[in-house]
Parts: sequence; C-alpha cells; structure tokens
Amino acid sequence: MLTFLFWNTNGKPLVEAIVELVEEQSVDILILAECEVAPAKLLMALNRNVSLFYFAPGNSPRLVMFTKFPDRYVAPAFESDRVSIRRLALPARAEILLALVHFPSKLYWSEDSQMLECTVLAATIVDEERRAGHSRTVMIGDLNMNPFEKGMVGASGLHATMARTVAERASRVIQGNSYPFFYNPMWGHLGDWLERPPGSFYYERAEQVTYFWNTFDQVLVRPALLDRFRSKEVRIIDRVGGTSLAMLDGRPDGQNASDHFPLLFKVDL
Amino acid sequence: MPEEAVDFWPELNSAKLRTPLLILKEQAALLGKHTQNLVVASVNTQTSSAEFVHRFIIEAPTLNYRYELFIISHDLLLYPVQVLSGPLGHFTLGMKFNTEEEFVKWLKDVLNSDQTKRILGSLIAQVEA
Repeated sequence: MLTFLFWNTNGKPLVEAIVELVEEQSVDILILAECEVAPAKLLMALNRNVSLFYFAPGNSPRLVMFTKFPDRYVAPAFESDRVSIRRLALPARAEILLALVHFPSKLYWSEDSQMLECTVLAATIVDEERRAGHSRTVMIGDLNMNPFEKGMVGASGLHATMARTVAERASRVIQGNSYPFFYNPMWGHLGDWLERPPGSFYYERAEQVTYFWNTFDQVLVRPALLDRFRSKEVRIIDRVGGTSLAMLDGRPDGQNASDHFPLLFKVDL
Repeated sequence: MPEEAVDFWPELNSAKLRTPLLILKEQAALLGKHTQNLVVASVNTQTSSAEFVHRFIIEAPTLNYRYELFIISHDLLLYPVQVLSGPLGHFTLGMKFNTEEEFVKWLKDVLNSDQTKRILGSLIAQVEA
C-alpha cells in the first residue's frame, strides 16, 4: 500500500507543515505544486530523523516529487512545463504511470482553453500508456477545474466519470473513436456533507455564477487500477496535527498556510 | 511409455556467492544514510561481450548532477575483478583483484580516500548552498 500526498503550497515556505503532515499520514510519495522551497532544504527536513526520503527529479518546474525509494524507481517518461509523467516501477510490483499535473489557472485561462488543453493532456497520457504497454495510470494534481467541467468529463478530454461501474466499461466509442475512461472519486468531495471540507480551494467573485468552493485538486484512476484504489481513503485535509490549515469559516488559510488544502490517497501496489 | 530422462545437472546454489555487484550495491545504498539522501550512489551495470561492467555513480539529485567514481569489470566467474578507472592513487592500468577479500579492501580504501571525501564534501556543500 502506497500513501500519496499532493499539495499546492502556493509558494509558501510550509516546510514544518509538510513534514508534520508526511509523518502524521505515513506518506510514501509526496508531490508538491508551486513549491518555492529548495528541494534540498525540504529533503533535509523530511530526513531530519531518519533518511527515508529521496528527491525524484524531473523537468517540470511546477511540480516536485519526493519518494521513500530511490528515484530510479520513478523515472520520468514525459515532462513539460505543467505535466510530469513518471513510470513507477518498484521491484516485484506491477508498474504504474503517475501523471502529475498543474493546469493553468482560471485567472489567466478561459474555461474553453482549459477544456481544449484537457484533450492535449488526455492524448499525451494515452501516448505514454501505449509506450508503457499498460494503462495502470493515476493522475494527480491541481487541475484548476472542477470534476463536473467539460474538460474533465468530455470523452476527448479526461473522460473522468463519477461512478466505478461506468469506468469499469474501460472505454466507450463515439463516432467510431474509442475513448478510455478515468474514474474520478473527487465527485464525492463536492460539498460539505460528512463534515468534510466542501472542496480544496475557495474562490468568490462578484458575478452571477460563482461556486465559492472548488475541488481543483484531484486524483483520477484508470479502470485497470480500480481494484487497487480505495475511494474511502481519499481525503482533503484541513488540519495538520494540532494546527488548522483553515480559517475560522473553514476556508483554506492562504495567509498562514496555502490557499489549497492537501489531498491524500492510497493505492495498493 | 517413454523412459524419463536422466538429469545430469548438479544441485545449483547461488545464495552463498557475494558478487562484486552485490558488494557495490550494498555500499551504494548506505551512502544516503550519511547525507540525508542529499548525495546518493547507484551502480550502473552493462554487459560488453563476455564482460560485466559496473559503474559506481555518485549523484546529487537536487542538483541533477552525476559523478562516476570508478568502473570495474569481471567475467562470468566474478573474479578476478579488473579496475577500468578509479580515483587518483587507487587506480593503475591493469589493476586486478583475484578474491573477494582483495576487492573489498580496495573498495573500502577508495570510499575512504581523501579524493572521495573531497568530492562528497563539495557536493554536499553545493547541495546545501
């Protein structure tokens, strides 16, 4: 069982919070977006008691990764400014692909542009799956889109469905073209039922349509990995030890922490 | 009924062999413990005709920097081990070790040599800078 933690730290020097969270949740793979802390400094902090973590370098400047195993087990397969696809090949375990993503913000990109970029990302992932010879893929990141947006659900986009039973169909054909599914457990993290954070990011603007809470930080899983993935273990985290990452009204505390909450999930490998 | 073939093969047992590669990998895995994994080591193995060639690499992943400390080779019988390149003072052309003991002694000398210490010290300083 591998425990993953993804956090867009919004360029904040959150070394203590990161380390505490990693220790508290026994994280095996740490992925950060918008991390301005030097990797060496964070590595020293992660290994302050025991040297468990390794830095897993890639060429995507917006995403950094630390693992509890040497970086040769998580070699880059595809790297671009906002996407890093790694082949996680641990000894005696089935290889999986990890697609790490930090998509452009809605502040700078229109919804249409984000949607079209999803088709590029989806094609890139399929290319790498073809090269790897399997589709055991997990996509993780700050998509800057909600699970219900067209780029997320559209067939030529990420094609990420809310239901395992639908994803289990593996793919569907439209106009003669086959599109593989992702399963998106983040649909279950919209709103505040079960007294969880209503999303991972809060944004409010004086216009007709605003969602207030957004679930931009997401994990998507291909059908080939569904039996190794537990939806109930996916958590948006708003507290580290005794410290809240939220303000009194529950919104992410962008001053003292990040404007995004961390995302935790587990995969049986 | 066809007769069952007589098996000429002996009992095979590889567990007792400590190959040069295993010895190198053990030492490579131990470096990170001394450096908080800021500087780590790995072994890159290739085959060249009948030879196994092992490169011992020092790496600083956060700098994306790699340094080849030495190269050794051996044939299928593991020993003698031949040194193809190595740190100053610990390498001469045609250097060979006929036994595991000789090879381990040389390896210990190399890892503890002033040149190796200087390389590791410089790398750690650069990583921490």
